[in-house]
Amino acid sequence: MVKEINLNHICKVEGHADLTLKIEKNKVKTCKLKASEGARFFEALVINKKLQDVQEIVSRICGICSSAHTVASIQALEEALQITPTKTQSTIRKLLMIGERIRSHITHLYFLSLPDYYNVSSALQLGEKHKDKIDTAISLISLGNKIIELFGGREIHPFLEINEEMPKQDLTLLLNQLKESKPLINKTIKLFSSLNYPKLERKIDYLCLKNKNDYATISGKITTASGLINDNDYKKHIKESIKEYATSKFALQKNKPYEVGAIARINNNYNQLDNETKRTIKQFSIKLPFNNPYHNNIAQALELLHLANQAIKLITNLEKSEKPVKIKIKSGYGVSAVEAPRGTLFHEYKINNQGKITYCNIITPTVQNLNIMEKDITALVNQLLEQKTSKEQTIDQIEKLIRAYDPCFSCSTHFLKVNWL
Amino acid sequence: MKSKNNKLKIGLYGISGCAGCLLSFIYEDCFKQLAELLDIKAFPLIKENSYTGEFDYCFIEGTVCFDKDIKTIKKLRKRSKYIVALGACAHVGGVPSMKNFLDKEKIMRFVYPVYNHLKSTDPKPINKHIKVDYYLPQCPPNKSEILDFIKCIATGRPFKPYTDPVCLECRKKGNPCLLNLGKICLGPITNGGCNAICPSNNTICYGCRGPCNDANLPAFLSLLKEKGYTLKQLHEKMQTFAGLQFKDQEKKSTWLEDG
Repeated sequence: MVKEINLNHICKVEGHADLTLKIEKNKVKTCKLKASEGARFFEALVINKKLQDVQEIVSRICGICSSAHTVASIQALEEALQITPTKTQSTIRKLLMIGERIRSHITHLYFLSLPDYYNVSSALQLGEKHKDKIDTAISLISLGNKIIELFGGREIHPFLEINEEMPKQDLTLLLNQLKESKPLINKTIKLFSSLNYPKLERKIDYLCLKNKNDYATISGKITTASGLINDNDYKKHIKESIKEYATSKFALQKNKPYEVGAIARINNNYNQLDNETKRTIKQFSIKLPFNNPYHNNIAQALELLHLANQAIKLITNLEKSEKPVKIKIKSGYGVSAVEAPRGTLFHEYKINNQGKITYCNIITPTVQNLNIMEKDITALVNQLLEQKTSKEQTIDQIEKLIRAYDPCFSCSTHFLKVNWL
Repeated sequence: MKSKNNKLKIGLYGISGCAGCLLSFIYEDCFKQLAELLDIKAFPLIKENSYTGEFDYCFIEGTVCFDKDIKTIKKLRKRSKYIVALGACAHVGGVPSMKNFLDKEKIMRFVYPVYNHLKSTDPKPINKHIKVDYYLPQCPPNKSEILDFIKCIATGRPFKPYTDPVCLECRKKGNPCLLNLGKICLGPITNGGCNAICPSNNTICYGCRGPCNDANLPAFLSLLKEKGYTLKQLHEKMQTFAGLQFKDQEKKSTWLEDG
């Protein structure tokens, strides 16, 4: 009988992660999911640095969501300096986040997740038989990259200095590219809403930012099924704890695991989606709210359509920038929460009267999802143990589930070595 | 050592890092070229890893941050004909290597109240632990340089690394000099090949491609002193990505000056 499952280095997720399951009497006794990355100590590296250097450092936390780290750090520091960004600056930031989210979702959907549903080992193999799918992916990744490059100067780790005035460019080409991308996005929604997902229903809390009038990206109130929370109070509600087996920190809300990401945003912010996306949800008979973690894929695909429409609207209405406020250095405290591709991201800083950082705390989306992932893996494995599923299939199923959350273990090598004891 | 299909056998791996460099490989043209010209044997970011054989070229992204990273790259070295350091972290240590210049205990305690289990080592570029044959520098790496490298190895053409300072490319582009605008820009002492992307976006050069071979640090320092900056301020900027290399270069320059 199976007593322990160890997955060392899970493939096709962003980051190094190991999983250890201990099984007693045909039930999971403990489930430990650990990020096995070397710690890089970003929050301490910015201490004593000038606030102008912070963005350059923290954007390196992640190559997949560097725009989110850039925007969150800048907004938190602006709050500390009591600066309000101009409307144009906010629009540019939204566009950076949209470009990044399109690229990130597509990378996850086609390169990391889809091979699972076509029983192939990778997108490289998928490309041999289904070239059109990889072409769609590459073309939408290129759209995301184009948006980030136009507004941030480069595709990864964009430039966005505090209070910088934005460059002016001809955006006709980009607008056309966005409009042309919609058939590809619709194809993507059709594909990912029709996949045969495993059944794993559960009732949990979903957390994301919420605005009354738009689908929140760079600001909003933290919302869960249990109500709204102010940014500055986030610490009262989310606690980080160190689990000794992991290098990433774990977060809990009201001592209960919750989920962040596209699935949370679609569930909580359905009303703020544009009409075309709402129609598409009906057209493909997609049932909301999502209660199955695998449906995060459908949520990501749906977001693409809303984001493309939002980008078209933002670019069409983009106005010449009013002059940004001049920075006056003073001491202060600021928090910013943004919606990164994988969920709500928090940046918190204190600065002294010389404009140097004295405190920094960052909570990333995957950190918040680790608890619910462990809980769901436990439920899944219990289900599979009951059905007397084979070892190989159980491992395949666990990996598929882990990938569904699109975790980012802050990134890199993973090769699968399975030890059954 | 070529595969049956006559393509070079490639591995793409990452140690502690941000995955940005590896992702550059799947974005647009890079992915198509990679799949067409080379035989990708291992790429755990997007592929199940069952390959246990040898590589012609193995690309490694990231900084050596803990004991497992050392084991990983040593194993890869044994399996590879050539090792390519991919991006600033693997090449010069990158942002995580800043820790070398700070109070390490204090840093670890600040982020993790309990930290012994982390098995952290001093963050170093990969060439401090293994022999490296090629470098694709920069954070994030230059996609056209990656493409050029892929084509070079696939066709057997030699790859020529860029050796002029950022300053030269920056002036060619006609950018206003950031040093003259009162910012500490490391363009004059940093290896180019990036098309001066940061100064072109009104951001100082943080030296992510490392010092150029003939960087004259004493001259640069006295220029900055004239402008009213201190050595500490200069060091702070140099330590952002390539502090370890700039430190070595500084020692070399002092020796040259004394001699």
